[in-house]
Amino acid sequence: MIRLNNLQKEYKGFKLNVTMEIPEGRVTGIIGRNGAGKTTTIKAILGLIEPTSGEIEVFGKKPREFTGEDKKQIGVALSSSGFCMIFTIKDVIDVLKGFYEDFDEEDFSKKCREQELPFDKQLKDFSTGMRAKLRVLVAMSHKAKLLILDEPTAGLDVIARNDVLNLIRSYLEEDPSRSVIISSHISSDLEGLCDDIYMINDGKIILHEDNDTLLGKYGIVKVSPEDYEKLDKKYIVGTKKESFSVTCLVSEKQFYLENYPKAVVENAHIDDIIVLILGGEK
Amino acid sequence: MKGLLIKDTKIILNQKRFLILFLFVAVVLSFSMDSSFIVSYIPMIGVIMILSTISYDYHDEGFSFLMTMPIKPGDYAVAKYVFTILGMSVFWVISVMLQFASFFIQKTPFDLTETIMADVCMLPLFLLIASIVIPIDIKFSPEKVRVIMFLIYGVIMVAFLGGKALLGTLADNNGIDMASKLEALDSVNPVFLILALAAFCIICLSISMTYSIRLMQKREF
Repeated sequence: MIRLNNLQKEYKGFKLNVTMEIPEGRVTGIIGRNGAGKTTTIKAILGLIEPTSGEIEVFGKKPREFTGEDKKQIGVALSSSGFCMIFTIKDVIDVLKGFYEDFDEEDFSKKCREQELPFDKQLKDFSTGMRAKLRVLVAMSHKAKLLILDEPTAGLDVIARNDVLNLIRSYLEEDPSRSVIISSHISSDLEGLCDDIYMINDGKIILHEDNDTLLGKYGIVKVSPEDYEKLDKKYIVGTKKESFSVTCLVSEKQFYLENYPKAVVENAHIDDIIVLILGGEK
Repeated sequence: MKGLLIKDTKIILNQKRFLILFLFVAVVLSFSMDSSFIVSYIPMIGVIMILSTISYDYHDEGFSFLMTMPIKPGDYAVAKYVFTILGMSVFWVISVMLQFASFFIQKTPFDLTETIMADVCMLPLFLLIASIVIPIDIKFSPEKVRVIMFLIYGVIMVAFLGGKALLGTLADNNGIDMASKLEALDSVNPVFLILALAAFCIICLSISMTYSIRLMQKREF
């Protein structure tokens, strides 16, 4: 469905260079720190920027050549932009009706009411959480087969984050053939939602794994500095040395569970993986 | 396209306070001074309001979001010209209606054909302004646009005053009577003048729109 082959985009002081293959019917997460290149990757997929080099195909077409009909297949929520702030939800409904024949006004209004979004207030008077929910609901409003959500939960409290994630889950339950690309710097958002995870840092993909593999096979191994020297390092992906212990991220935790009974082996969460890959030694 | 036109209409209608104040001033002016002024005042302010929708699109990276809607970047430029022409026509019709209301209420004698001709002549002027301003608004951020427009007004004023002085000097030196030359313009068929003006405007608008479409196609959001 989406193919990025050695896609490069250069800005002053930043270079994006990514290769990705995103299949249909999957939820793909892009995780990375602020400024890692998540938004640039999403903008390239949407054709909002012209790549410096490399290839990019979405539904078999270059995104910069998308027609209006092509764009109707995609629902988008960008992190820092949306409808004009002087609009109310009533205005948003009228504008969406003008853009999409498939816009389901009744369903959209119902979901806005469920999320307690006020219909007569201008968007500039909405809270951060309200705006985030509206952005996601707008993206879902025309039943697109691909949702692209850039940092939909950034800046939200835990309850608002859960609400947004539940909206995405409901959207996928309505039609399992739908696909979602979601970027975030909050790992827990992606852990329970994604089938695939791309980890991006400094403009490069540093890890791509199936979520089940990531959470099932990857592990954290804690050993003393002496035991670390004796450890088989073939599955070690990242290491962090402290005064009295060494923490390792491993891609086959079962191997260490079976062969090193003295080592403490724990399940790895995406946050641990990020810390050990980005902050540790390789 | 339809979505873009609705969006721009909503932006204008959401500026209720300004619209009400603007129409109130227009009504007061049309009944207190030369009512022909109103036919230039209302559409002019209307065009400024219409073109301000571009700066609303600029705010909060609105362009990026708009370009994810089912439109091509060039459609945005085309919609802006269509909206300007439609909106300007609405403001022009309102101003003409106010002008005639003022004539009837104040019992001012008027020549219908001459008045309508003079009113129609205002339209190309606004279209010319739109032809210059739309590409500038699309290319530059609202902050830069303010500076550029200030410079353009300066250049126009200097060119106008300088041209007037130059023509006067040339006429004096060569013994040409400018007043009689200007009077000769009166003998030209006004319909021909309007058609010539309209043709000039269409050419300017076409060039301006082609350039704006290219700007949007090349742009990154």
